[in-house]
Amino acid sequence: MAATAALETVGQYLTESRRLLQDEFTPYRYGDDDLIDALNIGLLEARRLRADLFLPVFTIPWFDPPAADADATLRDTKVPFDPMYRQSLIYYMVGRMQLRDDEGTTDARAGALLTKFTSQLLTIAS
Amino acid sequence: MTACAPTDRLMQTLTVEAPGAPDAVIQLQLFNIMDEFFRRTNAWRYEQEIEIKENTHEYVLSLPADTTFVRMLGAARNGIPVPPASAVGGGTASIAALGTLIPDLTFPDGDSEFAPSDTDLAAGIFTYAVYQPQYITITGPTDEEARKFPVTAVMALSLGKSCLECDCGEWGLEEWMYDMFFQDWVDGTLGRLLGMASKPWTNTTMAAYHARRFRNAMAFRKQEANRGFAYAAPAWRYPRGGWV
Repeated sequence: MAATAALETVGQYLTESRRLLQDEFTPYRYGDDDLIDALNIGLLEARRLRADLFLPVFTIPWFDPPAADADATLRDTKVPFDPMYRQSLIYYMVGRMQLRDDEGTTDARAGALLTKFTSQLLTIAS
Repeated sequence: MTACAPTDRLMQTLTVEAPGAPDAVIQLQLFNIMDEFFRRTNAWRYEQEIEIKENTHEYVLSLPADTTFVRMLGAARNGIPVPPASAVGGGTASIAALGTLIPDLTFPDGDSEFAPSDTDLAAGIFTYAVYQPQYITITGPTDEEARKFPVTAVMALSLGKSCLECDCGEWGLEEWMYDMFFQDWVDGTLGRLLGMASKPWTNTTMAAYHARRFRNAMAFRKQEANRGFAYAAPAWRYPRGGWV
């Protein structure tokens, strides 16, 4: 399997996000639809910061959150995003989840993750 | 990327010189640089013979696939240069001053295609112009005498826009170009890539360095193309206009 197979599908983004959120067992604290919303918003942010990642036609992919639980095929849907920057989307998803006023999390951690998302897209040393 | 695509060396070099740049961005900037290079240098030349037809003054330029017309470099007929329409129009005196359409030089046997009365009028003089990129417009007579010899048109080409949008990876370039212009294109593409705003690979100092090298390279290539890629071939020989 090629290295580019990492973080290739919606399901892989959900799994990796849950790993960092320590939310791997049901019932989840963060629902699939919330995480997919975060993925969609992260792609919008990526488009704002790095239009070149959406060449040649600049179409922003979008995944239907309500379908996440019901439709297993959505989990296998590929997220068209450059392999070098897929990790940044994970940081965005996790950071966005942790913006919630939950116990066991801090604003500083959320802020750090969201900042890391931005800096990874814009600077080489990040 | 296939193992033996002619762009491999370019893409490999650019990928390591611009860390973090996605392939699509590199290809876009490489395409833009190649286009700028050919438009500025006229280094991509193409020759086409145009058969003169009766009462026809506009002829379609048949360009190779995935190319676009940049400019007409010159036209000739039976070994005699044909002047562009923009250089003619002032009457006989100016034509003689150009040194291109002296009647007794028009044909080897001394015949002149142009009656002296005609040479006073721009419309009666054999000239060419390209008012649209797809057509060459020829003025002058299209009689039986004129149809004896085709017009040889030499034009400069560049990459067709459509080949960036297709996925075939073929840009219509000839293979020798990748070797000959490799360093120039690397410098030009790096100049653009490193000069992009707010990207992980942004480096304005190196962008200026590579862009300067690219501009110098284009100036050199432009002269080189004019001289037929011959080393140190002078534009004229001493004594100018004299015996050689």
